[in-house]
Amino acid sequence: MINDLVLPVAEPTERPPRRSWVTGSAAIAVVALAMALSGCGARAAHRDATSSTSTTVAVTAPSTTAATTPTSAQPTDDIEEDLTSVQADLDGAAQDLRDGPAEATTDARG
Amino acid sequence: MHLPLTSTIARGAAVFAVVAGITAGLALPASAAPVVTKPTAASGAAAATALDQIKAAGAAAISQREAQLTKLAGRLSAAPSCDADGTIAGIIAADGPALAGIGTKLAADTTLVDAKADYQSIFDDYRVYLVVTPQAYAAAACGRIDVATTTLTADQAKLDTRVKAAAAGGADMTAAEAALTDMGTKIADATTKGDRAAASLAALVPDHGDKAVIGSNAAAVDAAHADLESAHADLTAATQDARTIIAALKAV
Repeated sequence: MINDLVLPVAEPTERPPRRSWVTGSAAIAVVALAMALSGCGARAAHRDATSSTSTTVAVTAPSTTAATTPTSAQPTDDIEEDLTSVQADLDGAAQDLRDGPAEATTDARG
Repeated sequence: MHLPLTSTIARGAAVFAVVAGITAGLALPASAAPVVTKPTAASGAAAATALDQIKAAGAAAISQREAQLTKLAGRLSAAPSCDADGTIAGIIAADGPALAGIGTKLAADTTLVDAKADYQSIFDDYRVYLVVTPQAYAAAACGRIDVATTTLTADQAKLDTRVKAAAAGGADMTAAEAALTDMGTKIADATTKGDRAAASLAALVPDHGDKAVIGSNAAAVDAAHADLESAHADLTAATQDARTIIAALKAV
């Protein structure tokens, strides 16, 4: 039984070594091309090459980033500067609202 | 300034007593009043001293008010106020020379009756502290509230545009949209109260000693003050809403 199972595998003429190398190289090339096209080759290179989940994330991430880029680019600096000015006005108003009644009592005769 | 003047008047009470019928308005002891009917050489000298004291007290009160008016003018001109038509600034500008005129007249007075009338007009006819001071400060606060309201209204429009753009891009802007709605409500409320405060302040008038006008002025100032306090709170909340919205936009 053992010999029957081993013999076909050990036969060199039925499985050329070169064919196996070509198949592996083609697979690597496809993965590398996918990574290059996705723009995430560098990030993918740090992931576990045996994990199909990692490969999927690396490919889908760019599509999310591309959709939100225009929104995140909306500037708010001008409004934040306005708010600083508004706060100064509110602080000044609060001071006026405190000072008025306080100074009005300086002399009760009027 | 007020306490020394009060003290001076208190010390002069005995002097005023000799002419109590004239100087009763200066808080004389009731028991001193009967002395009036017997003028003597000594009482004449005392009356002269009382006249000098009234003049001195009047000069001090006028000087104090002129300084206050200068301060109020500076406060009003430091920033846009609700005194758009210049009514309050006009009162402040006119009161200084008018008080100086009273000072000149008081200095020339030769009778206690005239001096007392001029002295009293320093307070009753101008109300620099009782009316003009809260009026000017409230107008200044009203102006700052108005400027802040205008700025926040423009900012709300900008934020509305950017929140909509972010939502169109697929971002969840639910919280930002709620903050925008609240911001609009607060700004509208502040606008209403700021306008009402400005109207109340514009209606103030010198009371000339009229108790009813004194009361209506005080009520108007109190109402304006309350409206401005409320508007201030509204705008503080609107500012916080704007910061919330900005944070949401940055987080996208």
